[in-house]
Amino acid sequence: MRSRATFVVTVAGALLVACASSATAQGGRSGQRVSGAQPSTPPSSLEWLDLTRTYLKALRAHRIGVSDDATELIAKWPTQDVTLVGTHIGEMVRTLQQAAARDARAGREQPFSFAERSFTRTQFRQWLGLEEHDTFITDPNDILKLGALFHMDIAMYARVFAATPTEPSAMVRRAFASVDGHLVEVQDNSLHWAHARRLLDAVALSSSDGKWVRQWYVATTAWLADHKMWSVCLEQASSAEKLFPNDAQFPFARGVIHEVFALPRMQAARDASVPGIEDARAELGQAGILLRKALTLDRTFAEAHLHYGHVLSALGNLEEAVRELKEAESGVRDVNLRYFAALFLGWTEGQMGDRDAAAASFERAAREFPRAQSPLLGLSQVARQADDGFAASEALERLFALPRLRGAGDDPWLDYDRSHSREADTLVGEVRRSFRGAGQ
Amino acid sequence: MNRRWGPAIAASISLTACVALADQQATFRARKDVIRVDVLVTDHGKPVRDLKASDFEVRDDGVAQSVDFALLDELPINAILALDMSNSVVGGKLDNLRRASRTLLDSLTNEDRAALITFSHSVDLGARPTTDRAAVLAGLEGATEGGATALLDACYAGLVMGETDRGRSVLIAFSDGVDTASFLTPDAVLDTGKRAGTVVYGASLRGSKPQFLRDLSAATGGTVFELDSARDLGSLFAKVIDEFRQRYVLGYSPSGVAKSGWHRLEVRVKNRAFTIKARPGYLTGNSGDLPAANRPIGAGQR
Repeated sequence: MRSRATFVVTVAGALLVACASSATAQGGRSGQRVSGAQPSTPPSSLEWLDLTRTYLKALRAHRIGVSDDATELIAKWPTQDVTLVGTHIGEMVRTLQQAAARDARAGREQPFSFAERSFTRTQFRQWLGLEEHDTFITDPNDILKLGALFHMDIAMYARVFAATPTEPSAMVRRAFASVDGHLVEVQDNSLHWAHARRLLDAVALSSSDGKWVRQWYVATTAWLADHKMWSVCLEQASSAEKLFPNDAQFPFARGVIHEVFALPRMQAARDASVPGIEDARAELGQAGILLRKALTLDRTFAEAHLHYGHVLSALGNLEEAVRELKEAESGVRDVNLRYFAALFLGWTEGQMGDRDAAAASFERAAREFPRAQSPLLGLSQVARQADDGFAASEALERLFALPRLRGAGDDPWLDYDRSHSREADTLVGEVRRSFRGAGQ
Repeated sequence: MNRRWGPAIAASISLTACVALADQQATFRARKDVIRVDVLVTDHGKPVRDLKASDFEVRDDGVAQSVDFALLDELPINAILALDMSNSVVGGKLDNLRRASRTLLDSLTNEDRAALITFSHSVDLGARPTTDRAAVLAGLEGATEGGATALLDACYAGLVMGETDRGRSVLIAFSDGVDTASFLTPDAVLDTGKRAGTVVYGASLRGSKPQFLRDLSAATGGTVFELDSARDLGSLFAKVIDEFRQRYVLGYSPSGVAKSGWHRLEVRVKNRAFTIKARPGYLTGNSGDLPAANRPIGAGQR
């Protein structure tokens, strides 16, 4: 549905178009270029080994959760160098996993072949320049998980811009965001997210590692949604869905993004000829399919009922919307979600012509957030639609009597597009804390 | 804001509820009012000012109606300003907005009233309809800048604020951004625009694609102006008021048409090929009675 060549990324409420071409590798790293070796062919030159050693050293030196020398170093690397190293690390992981199995059967280290050389696992560690107790040799998944966290930190924190337009940064690209009419230059680190996913694709999904990988995807999709990086979030959630096909969280995450794309604030950006977003009805349709899938996987997913109900309401499927929203309202605990359920119920009931029910729902929403304008606007409009100008004016007077709206803290509707990612920072912190690797 | 709906001659365009106080308890009853239509008549661009009620022909859903009155510049104006104070309008544009608003206030007579709504992510009341110019200016000076853009919500508030039995109302809405914060949908606000008697004029800067303002202006018989610069706002506001003064207010009691639903209006001057600018119709009762072309995309489309 969406072209890979161009995509939409949002940052802090803005909408931007990332440059379509992948970065070229001119002058990326001290002017050196690594001659590209095909992944399936052992390189004749060991220049890739220097890169790999440098990369592994940076990985081990990196402090998880911050931008440091390690992230800044690798952030400047050309795309093909990072990809080359990643490919070799993937091959090493597979080789080491096989070697570990043979060693376990034999009860001692057995030689194996890599890069036209013969190693034991100890010799391999020394060849790579790793410390004696580095877990890369004993638990290869560890380096892959660490790599995912490392590239996550680069994507989140590294601030590297090309010095000149002719010398683009490696996996970091210039992009421009339109923020309420003003053009702002931002950094697009989406390729690092892609690289992190590629590393995790190589993780053997045993029980504990699989749980951690899922946790990483849940945290990062929430973080990306919280930062309105919608396209990358879609890619992230899609990858997760392939790895965890029976997990409702990921079709939910994708469904909500399509729901957000249908909002008038996003459709207005679409009207400004920004690619990547379909028209509202198409986005709502896609959202409905995905949210229904999430609910099929987990019928008790109250927040999914909320978003599904909202989508149904927008599509005009009002009776079913009311059922979903009522189930959401009774099932959600978060006060913001209860507010949304009541607000959308009021809207839907109003559209059905049930003024009394709509008024009651809007009043419930107003009680959750007494300074919010949205419930009173809804109350007023429903009254006016029923040709009750008095009630419409009365509701508007209540709105004008409110203290000035400070922001989403007073009316969560202002931040609805990020409502499902409200715990992003907590989730990211937890996935970092739950990682245990050599030297960490 | 008026809550009592006055005599028929000053009634709003749609079926209205009125408040009858009895034993301290408000009751509501619906009564059919005279329908008012704001009409601009021009002859090669020049306003025509010497017409009488009998010169007009009005058809409501194709049924000819008897025009009871045609008032020209006899009713005071309620000029409601809805001004964008969001992030896209800070700095120089905001100064122009303030200057333009003062120009508008200067173009009003002593009987006219002005009101002010400012909006960013919230809709804020700057001043209720008042003849006190200083109150409106104070509201403008006290407006807070910055934030997202709730244009739709602000237009809705302006439409409802304009529903009064005193005078005739014009809403002048300025925004140079896209709506990024409103709760109400375009269809919901358009529904109100079709019911209320307020004429909407929109102003935006060239390049901003003000589709919603175009739709709302068209539905209410107004116009959208796209400016090259915010410096042109002052002259535009004065032009809007001047044009609004040139409009007739026609009144008729609907006869031979259904009470509820969408009413298509046709207005012409008999035997003359003048250009007429008026709202294309009005809405009462259930919007489900709207013809397909006028129905919202989805009943709950958000």
